[in-house]
Amino acid sequence: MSEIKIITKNWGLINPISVDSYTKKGGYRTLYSVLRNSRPAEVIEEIKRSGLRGRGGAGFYTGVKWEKAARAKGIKKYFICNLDESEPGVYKDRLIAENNPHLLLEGILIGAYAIGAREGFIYLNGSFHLAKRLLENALKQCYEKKILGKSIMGTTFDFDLKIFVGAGAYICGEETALLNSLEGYRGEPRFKSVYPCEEGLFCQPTVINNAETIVNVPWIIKNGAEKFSKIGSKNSPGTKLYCLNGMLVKSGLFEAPLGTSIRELIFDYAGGMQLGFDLWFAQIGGSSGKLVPLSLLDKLVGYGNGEEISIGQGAILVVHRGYDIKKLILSWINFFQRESCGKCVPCREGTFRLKLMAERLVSGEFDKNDAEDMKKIIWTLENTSFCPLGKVAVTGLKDVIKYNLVKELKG
Amino acid sequence: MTIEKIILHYESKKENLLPAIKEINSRLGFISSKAVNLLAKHFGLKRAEVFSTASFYNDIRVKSSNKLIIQVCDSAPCQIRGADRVLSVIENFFHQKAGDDFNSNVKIERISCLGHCAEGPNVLINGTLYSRMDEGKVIEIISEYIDD
Repeated sequence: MSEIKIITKNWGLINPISVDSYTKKGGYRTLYSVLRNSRPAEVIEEIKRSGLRGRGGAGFYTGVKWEKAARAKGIKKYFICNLDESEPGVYKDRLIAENNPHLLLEGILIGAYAIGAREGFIYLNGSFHLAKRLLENALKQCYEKKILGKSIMGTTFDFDLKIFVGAGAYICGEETALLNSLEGYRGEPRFKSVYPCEEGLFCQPTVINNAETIVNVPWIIKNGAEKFSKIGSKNSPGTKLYCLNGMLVKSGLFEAPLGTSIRELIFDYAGGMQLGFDLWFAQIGGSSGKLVPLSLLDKLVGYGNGEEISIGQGAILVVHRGYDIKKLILSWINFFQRESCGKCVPCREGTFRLKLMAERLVSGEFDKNDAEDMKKIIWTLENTSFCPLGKVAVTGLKDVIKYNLVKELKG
Repeated sequence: MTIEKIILHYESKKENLLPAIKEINSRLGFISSKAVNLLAKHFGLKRAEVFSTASFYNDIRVKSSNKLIIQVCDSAPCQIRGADRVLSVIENFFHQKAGDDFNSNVKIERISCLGHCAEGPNVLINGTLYSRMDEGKVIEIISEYIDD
């Protein structure tokens, strides 16, 4: 087990309601030196060299995104922190905001300076009440200390940050749906002819980063890109917050480098299975993630090439032997059926039909025709959905068929 | 009167629509057609536009709300820790299935992840979160809400 900690280093040591306890641990010093000594392009270059990838699941290079936004032309630029975390099994962003809200703000400020944004939002999940209170408090302190607002820390950099609280919609974590929600529309995804970093909020260049991506930024600037790129694997450098759930001895959140094997995460970090429970398989990346049977447990996680299993947002769910997997299937489908926004037909109707089938599967009325129809629906969802929600809704189900975990589905 | 007062706190910008809707929802329990009218007037939008935003989100209700709302998370991590057993105990207690509309006092719902998966199964009762539920505990807590 490695002891490198970037994000969780000061958790529990600093008081999340006090800005002084953060500055005592060296907080906001990186921002100060960036504002005084570096040009925006240098910050972007440093992030690019570090190879930091988006922690929201897609793994897009953060530096590339920032560079595009910095080059794009617009009246005004926006920097948005995506904290609308609602994937089943993930709670890393909530814990970031609850344990060290000022680290998040420092990262946002450095990012905003790099792309030249004057206004920013934190899009917060509506059910994170404690995180909301702590962030509001942190914002107030920053405005008092001149870390936010006009002429930050005595420089010419101005930045306004607001908290925007969502109202419970999974799809609003998708960046274009998030933008629609911020603008007061239904949170339905947009067609990505142009990426938000060129034309986003109110048609202006907008960077949308996951909260975990942002909290890596101060460390990278302080310690240098080389040091960061040495942690983790070659294609996916850095550490990651993993949320391990299920019948584990220590279920919860752990920070470990990317490129750790799944076996190590489950047995070394989370202490293995509880007494009386046997590991059957694991699901990596929340309800939209792939299944990993015992034979693939030594694979490494990351965002990189085909060798690595994509970790997504960082959720690992362990399923114990003897658990009724049909109920798990119903739970996945129920989730996606509820959270489908209804914009495109394949996703709206497909998830509904799959739900009826999953209910038949649980009650034992599932027959051969259903199994064939299910394959057709899976194909349709994967190939014709408008946004990734429809595509990932069947990842788990597809793997159940692939590894032949339920004999009725064989068809 | 109260709806008008709440709306006046918000500048007439499109980005303030959802926060205004949320505040009315949390104060009054739901978005009435009167509220939709007033919001549309204030933000210079059509009533359908306001309603389409309000009806999209899970946390916002467009029908008058029940006295007791019990929401059980049925996402995979809670499911593995026994959410379906907790839900069926609640359903048996009220003789009412999740999603049923006939009882104006009680509503039972299945909801999506709340981000407290390590402490599941999670149950929200009138907006208060209860973690690490089991069949016995959940009935004990619910009976505290209905003893009058």
